[in-house]
Amino acid sequence: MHAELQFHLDARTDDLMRGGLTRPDAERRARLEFGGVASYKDEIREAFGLRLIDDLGRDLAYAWRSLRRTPTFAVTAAGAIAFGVAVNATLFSLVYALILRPLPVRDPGTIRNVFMETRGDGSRGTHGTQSVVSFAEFAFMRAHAHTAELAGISEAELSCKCTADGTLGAQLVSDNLLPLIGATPALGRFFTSEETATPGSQAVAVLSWSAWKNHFNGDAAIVGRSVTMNRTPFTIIGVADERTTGPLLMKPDVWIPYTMQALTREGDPFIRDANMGWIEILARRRPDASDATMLAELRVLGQQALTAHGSKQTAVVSMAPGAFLNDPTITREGLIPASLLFLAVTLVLLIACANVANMLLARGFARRREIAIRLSIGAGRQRLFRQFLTESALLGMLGGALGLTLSQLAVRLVVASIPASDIGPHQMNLSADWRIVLYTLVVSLLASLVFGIVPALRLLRDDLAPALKTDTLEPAPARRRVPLQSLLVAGQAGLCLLLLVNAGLLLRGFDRGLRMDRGLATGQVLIVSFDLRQQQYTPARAQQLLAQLRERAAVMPGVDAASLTTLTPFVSMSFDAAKAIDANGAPGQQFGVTDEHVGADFFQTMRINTVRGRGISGAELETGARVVVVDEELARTYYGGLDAVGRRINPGGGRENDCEIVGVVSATHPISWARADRPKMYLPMRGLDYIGGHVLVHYRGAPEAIVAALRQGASELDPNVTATVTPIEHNVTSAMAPVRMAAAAVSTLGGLALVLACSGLYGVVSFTVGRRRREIGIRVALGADRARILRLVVGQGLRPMLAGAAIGIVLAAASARLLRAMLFGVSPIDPITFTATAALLCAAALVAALVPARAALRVDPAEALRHD
Amino acid sequence: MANDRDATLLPGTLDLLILKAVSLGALHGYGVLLRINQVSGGALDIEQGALYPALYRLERQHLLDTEWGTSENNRKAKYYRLTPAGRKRLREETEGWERLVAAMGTVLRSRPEEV
Repeated sequence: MHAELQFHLDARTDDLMRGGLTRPDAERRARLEFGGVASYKDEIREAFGLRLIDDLGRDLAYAWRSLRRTPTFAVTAAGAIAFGVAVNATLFSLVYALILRPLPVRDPGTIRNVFMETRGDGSRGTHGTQSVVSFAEFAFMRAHAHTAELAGISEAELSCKCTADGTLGAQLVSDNLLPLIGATPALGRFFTSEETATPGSQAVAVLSWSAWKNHFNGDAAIVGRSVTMNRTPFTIIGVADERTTGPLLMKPDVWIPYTMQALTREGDPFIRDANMGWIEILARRRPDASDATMLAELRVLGQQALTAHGSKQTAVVSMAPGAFLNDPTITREGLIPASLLFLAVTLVLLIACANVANMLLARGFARRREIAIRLSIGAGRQRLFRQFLTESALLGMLGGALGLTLSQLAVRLVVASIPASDIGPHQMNLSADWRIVLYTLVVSLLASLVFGIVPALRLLRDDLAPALKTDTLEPAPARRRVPLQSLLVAGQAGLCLLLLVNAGLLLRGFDRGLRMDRGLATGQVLIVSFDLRQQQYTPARAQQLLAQLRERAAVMPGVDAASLTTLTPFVSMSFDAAKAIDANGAPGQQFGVTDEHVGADFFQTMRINTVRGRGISGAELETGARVVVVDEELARTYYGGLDAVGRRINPGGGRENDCEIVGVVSATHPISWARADRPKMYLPMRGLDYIGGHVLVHYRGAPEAIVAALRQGASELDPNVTATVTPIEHNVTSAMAPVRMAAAAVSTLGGLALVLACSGLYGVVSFTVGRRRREIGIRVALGADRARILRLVVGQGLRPMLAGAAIGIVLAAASARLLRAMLFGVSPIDPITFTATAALLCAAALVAALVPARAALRVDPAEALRHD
Repeated sequence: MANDRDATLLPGTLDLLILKAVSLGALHGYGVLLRINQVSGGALDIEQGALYPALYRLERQHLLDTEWGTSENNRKAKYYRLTPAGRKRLREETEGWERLVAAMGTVLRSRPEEV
């Protein structure tokens, strides 16, 4: 534009010069004729549409100045917004870090996690998640895939004397996994395809950089050295570069070929079972393929891989961009809790917005004069409206920035609060990348729209002429202004109560869940475990050690009963399939069960009620007889009632494995409220080709002496092994951890909501009192009882809150249904919780209203009447 | 250069004049000024400052198209030309103007007896 105007001036100057003027005269004349450019610039800019941007800049500057003039308001409002945004951003950051953030690998854009689940008839074993494939299936899919390169990975723990606690975190990988994720060898090399071709062939390993530095002192000559893991000497062939920490949530110390899987599970290898899934698939899409073609191909290959080993099941293949926890089972099970949490944080944000809206209404009321003047000198209503919105946006952004900082702190706190023993060395990246910042920005802007629009509209609608005339704070029609603020207070109360009730229900549910009768002992049991992989133990010798310790424990003072088991109570579950055999000896349909291999006196030790028949006898354990005990659910479903004793069942394998049912026990409920409980089967432990197992000891009185005696007994049996003794309460608490965390989270949110709602009420009541000082002064001067005034003010403040609380109760009753699954049997309309939380809210509201209302008592009538 | 006999510009007619001037051939801003002056025989003199806001307004309404080119004396200048929408608007406005003129004329020519 400038160039164009300059051209115009030059052309006019030329013409004037041709008419006879000198250059300086011509230039001056031309400029004079054109007139003041500056005055036209404004019009030009408006014509151009640049006006909007100019206005925005001016509005922001004005908003900033006016916020600075009222710092208390600015801080309080921004603070409220910050809390609301912070909880939102914290939740989003956690979800993002776990499920959405790209993996820490080279080129994460083309990396995909591939999942395969199966449906239909037939049994299938899975180790780890439920979307894993077997060795044979993986080999098939990898060989035939054209649209992507497939790599396999699985996690395991290896025992090694080189670390302080005797274990190394390992990832079993196919040869192409490390190059696929962009790792390069810092020393030595990675696996060749021969090294990962034949099961059990090559004991080679690649160290991670941190393991090399921490456990091997950064030995420069590490390549070629031998390290014994799980009693097998492994040759170190390389060390990965510093940036490579693997594509899974946990950081490994070492990578070994996945063909060495048999080593990680003595006596129970998966690798040769074509129907046992244990490999997670990581894939890199080829540049010429699209996600759609890749998924289509993998679907076909998955089904083919399944049928190739004779399975009649249907493969369900799904795919997701590479992330840590995007397994379909997790996303399915986690969807509802996550949505509820998001709803809860949104409610907190809304309460915060209502607070700020009330504050803005109060502030706008104080600025009536200013607005009236501006309108009267010609500012357009639209213009002022835009300015109010800009002020709200600025406030929202300030609060949002503060909230983002708070959330970064909060996220780290949350992760740190999970006991390290439960999760191990994770590589969750909690830093705020651009997506998190963008999310916070959008939330802040939306919030500013929500809290800004109503006060702005309200301000411009009212007749402001009276404001110009009087200098007092008296409103013209007192009635109109109060309802909106009351409405907001009521809304806050309702939302707050909603949150509090849900939090209360979850807390009660959690408490009940902890103390629930699960059908088995949740206390007074000690679990003794050994790590025998490192020692020269065969499965037979391991079973003998456990049995001997059990016999010693059974006669120790203070011990009620002792037994053995293959599963860690409240931690592991074993899924299997069985067939019921009817009265004529014909096997029925296969059905899913959970099973456990147990020793003598198991049901007495774990306090599981025997309903029919008996437990497995010592003699049967000795001989390894084919007997089982089933739980009542299995008996009722597949044998028509509790009288299943004497009937037969096939726990898998050929007909020679048929067993006789010798007892029926009550059903037990391990704490997994997302997975459906299956019927359970107990088999004798003897004769298992298994090196693990635990001794269970049920005791009376204090455990310390018994723990010491157990350790003593173990070292007497074999001084080289260390016994780990865990009280069962510890396992129960860990298993309840997700529910506990959910209860803690919702309680925090509920508490925050309560604080926000009460501070909102406080603000409104003190505003009302301030506005009505003159009126109160008059009443007192006329002889009104101060206590009565107090009741009046407090009552008026509380009324909307109570109304809102009533609505909140209705909402809570309707919505609590959604939580039913997490409540462990507590009724969603539990009266105790409802009354307790309502009482809490009313009490807090009373305090919030009383404090500023008492200021009304101290009004000196003479002073109030004079105040103008 | 103001002359008592010069016609005063009615509000709203500037746009129409600009459209017409440009319709006779692509022009830069100064050229529009000159042409209107020339074609009206010196009777119409546009206030220079009002020209450019009007030009930009017409351009924003997509009635004019712009293009940078070189002027007669080899300087860079922005040239305006009519768009099809502009041509249509010119036609409509001209018709409206002529109707207005006819109506005004009838009223002004009326004699006391005709009322």
